[in-house]
Amino acid sequence: MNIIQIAWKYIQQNKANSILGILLATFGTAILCILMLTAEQLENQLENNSRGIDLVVGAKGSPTQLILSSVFHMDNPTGNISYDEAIKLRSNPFVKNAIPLSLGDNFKGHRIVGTEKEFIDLYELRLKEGKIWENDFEAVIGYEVAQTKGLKVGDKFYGAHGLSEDGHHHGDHPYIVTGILESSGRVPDRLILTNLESVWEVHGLHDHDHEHDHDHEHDHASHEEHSHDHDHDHDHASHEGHNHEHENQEEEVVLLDEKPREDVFVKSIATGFESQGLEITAVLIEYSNPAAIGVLPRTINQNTGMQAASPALESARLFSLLGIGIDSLEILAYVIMFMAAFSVFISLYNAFKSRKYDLAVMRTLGASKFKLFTMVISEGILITFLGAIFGLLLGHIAIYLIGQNAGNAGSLISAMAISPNEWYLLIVGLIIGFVASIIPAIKAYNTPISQTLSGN
Amino acid sequence: MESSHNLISLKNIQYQYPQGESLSFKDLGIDKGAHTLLLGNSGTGKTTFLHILTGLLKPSHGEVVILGKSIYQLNPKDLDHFRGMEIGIVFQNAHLIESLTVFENVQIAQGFAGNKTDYEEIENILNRLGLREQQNKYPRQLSRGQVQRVAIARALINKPALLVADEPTASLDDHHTEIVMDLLFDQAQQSNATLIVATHDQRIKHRFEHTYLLNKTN
Repeated sequence: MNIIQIAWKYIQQNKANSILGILLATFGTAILCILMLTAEQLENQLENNSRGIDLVVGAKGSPTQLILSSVFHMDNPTGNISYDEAIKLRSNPFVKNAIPLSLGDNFKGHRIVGTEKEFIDLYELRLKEGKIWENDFEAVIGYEVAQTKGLKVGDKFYGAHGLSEDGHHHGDHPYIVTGILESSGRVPDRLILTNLESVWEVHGLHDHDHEHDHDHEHDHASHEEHSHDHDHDHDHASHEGHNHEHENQEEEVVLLDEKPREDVFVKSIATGFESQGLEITAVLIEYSNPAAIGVLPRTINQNTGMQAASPALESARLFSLLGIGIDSLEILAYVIMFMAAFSVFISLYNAFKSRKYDLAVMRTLGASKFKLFTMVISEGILITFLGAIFGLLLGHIAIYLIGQNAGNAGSLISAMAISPNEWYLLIVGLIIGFVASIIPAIKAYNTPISQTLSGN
Repeated sequence: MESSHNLISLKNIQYQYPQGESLSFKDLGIDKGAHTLLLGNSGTGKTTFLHILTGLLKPSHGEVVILGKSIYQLNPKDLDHFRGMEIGIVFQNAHLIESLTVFENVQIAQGFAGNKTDYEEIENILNRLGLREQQNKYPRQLSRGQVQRVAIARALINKPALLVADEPTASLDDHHTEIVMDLLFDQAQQSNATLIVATHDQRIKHRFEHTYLLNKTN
């Protein structure tokens, strides 16, 4: 029977106090663990997913929203921009790469992204099986989509209107899966990629889709009502008249794609159908050289009807906003940890009085002073260390539950990921136990045998 | 004369209490197997003397030699080890560890003395003392006599050269006094230990050939 076993016996003997100490350490550690994992993974995700993307160009509105919607695929898009205007950026000498994105539909919560094949290269994606799309309504699906929705190459699926799961279904154009991507640990894992034309076609924007007009008729009515709830007061003179009041709702984005059909048609007679009618959600831009940072965003923001936002800047801003919440929770966690330490200290200190005789007797049995010291320290450490282990478990369970309930945003954070920093939390548990028990342990070390036994 | 005592010898022992009072003790020598009674009334420094003798309290003056070793010249850790191995003490009120079972109370005595747990040995000694049924009980579940027997088992588990009992018969009636004394002699015999009993109880005087009388001598 070693001293740790004896210490454990004492912990069992002193149940109420031990449980209190373990619980406090558990909660303190759990909060720290949740914060650490969340902050770390968010930061990683922010960094990871914006890698290679220097600038995002989209409709005017909140730059954060633009970044969230087109880089992280979380928020709704800010609106639409003209494909032609956007694609002109390609000829800008500061632009190395410009990849258009067109959003609007989803399949069971996974966004269907109309884009070009360069998207695959930008995110350094590799195909696990199948091939990249060649024709309209061929789609390459992310690893997670394949896993969770059980899609295989050759399967067909129907997109639903909007970016949330409960949208209206497009019953007319099934997509066919041509390829499945390898897991990249980045956002495309959760996306469905197809060409721009498919997305346009679903929403009746393409030149050969007039026959779909009436299919979408009923949509208009519901969206019309909807749009009254949202008071968009953008007065960017540069915007086309018809998309003035419908910028921020992705559902309305679709609406505006469809509603002004006649205008477009009329306009198309005058100016050419394709050039004016095609719209996309955003363009992801890679700079050709670092000097672009100072020039390109300003040029776009001032001289076009579009806005340019930097993923790096917006991520940093987002993270600093989150930081305030994280900091205050962190303080709370430290307070709880302190209380854990204090409760262990009080319980060991009080127990010392009733345990003096035990300690003296152990000395008569041959235990050295140092052994008693270690025994008391072990007791403190066992309590807080157990708390730390339970805390880590609780933290992961909590993150799992949060992920279950938070939907899209929650899937950014994996409960299974173990951060190397979690070892630090275990070490913190050890240190807290040590600090809390050091004074009682010193008292144990100094217990005078003879005096204690003779009751003086 | 003193060099002939091969088990224990105390010479020129003086102890100065922190409060200032000072006690001197007559020299004492004990041979192996010479069970000895330390007789003295309360206030004669009996407990102090017993603690000095068992390596629990360092005297202000004098030397304690057990088995040829001057124990207070050992470093503290070696003294702890020596005590664990060679001196078994049965306290007046037993002082079992309440959080541990009977078995574990004996087991830790092996551990603290630096020995490996020897389950067979522990079971043997518990059997010998009639505690077989009690081995998984906690001290609070035992009768007073059983508690004392556990204390004896604990004191003897490491086969010490010396078995020291402090007031083992205090507040016992004559009948039980006889039983306890028989037990102590018997167990000391079986473990090959020399018994030293410190008491003020005159009833057990006749059982010892050797008696050391504690007097108050300032």
